[in-house]
Amino acid sequence: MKILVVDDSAVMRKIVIKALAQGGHDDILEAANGKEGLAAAGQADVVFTDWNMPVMDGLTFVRELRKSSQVPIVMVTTEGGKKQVIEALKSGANDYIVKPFKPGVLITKIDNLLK
Amino acid sequence: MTDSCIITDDLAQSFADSTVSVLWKMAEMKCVCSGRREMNDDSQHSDVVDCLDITAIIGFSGRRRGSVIMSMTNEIAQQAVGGMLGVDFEEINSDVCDGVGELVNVIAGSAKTKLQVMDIDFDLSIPNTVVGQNHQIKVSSGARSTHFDFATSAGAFFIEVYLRGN
Repeated sequence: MKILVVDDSAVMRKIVIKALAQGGHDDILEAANGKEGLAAAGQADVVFTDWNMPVMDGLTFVRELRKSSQVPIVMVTTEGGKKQVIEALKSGANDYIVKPFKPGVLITKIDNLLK
Repeated sequence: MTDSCIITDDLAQSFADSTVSVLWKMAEMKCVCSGRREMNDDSQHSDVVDCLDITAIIGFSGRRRGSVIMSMTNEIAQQAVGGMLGVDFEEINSDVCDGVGELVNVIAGSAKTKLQVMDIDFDLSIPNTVVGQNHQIKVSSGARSTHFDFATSAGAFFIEVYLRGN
């Protein structure tokens, strides 16, 4: 299963990738913003994306991706307010993780999405 | 100075509390807040911040406008980001710079989530990081701030929360 990780922070991408590896997921694509994410998403089976990014933010990325794809999308972001969660889910994200998170949460989200 | 310039206790304290919890959750670094200093009148306020070795800055805008500065020694930054990634850093490199920026991003996001419950809301900018011994940062004149000192086993660091008038 190919997983796309979209975040402008290289360190956060490494943290997410490390957490995914602990769950046996090591086929990873990376993107540093929503525009790069759109270019890579066609190859992905699951997408994890940040919200606040330069060039194209995560919410815009989700809306644009949903015009052509139903790939499962999980937002991984510092924006933890109810308003933000609702906005992300209405825009097309399937699930939501607030930073900081425990690594096991990512694996649980994947398992739930693929049921 | 308008009332909106005064740092509310809730706003400043949320950033301090988030610093302690985020450093522990993300970097497994224990820290305690060892001091707090309000700079809410002209006699206390300076528009130049004397920083440590590496400083991350994030802005916020909307109903409340301002910024948060987190400044650390190289040793603390290397240990904190090393804790995030499970590696040891021997020097300041792009990962350490990026990691310090991500820490202030998560700290600000965590504070924002707490403050939304109190109907204090704002948008966050993308963080920036400045590197260099004894660098200084110029802040807006007219902004008022709260300074928090933190102690860790690797030394001390600080955050400052700045609020500008509307």
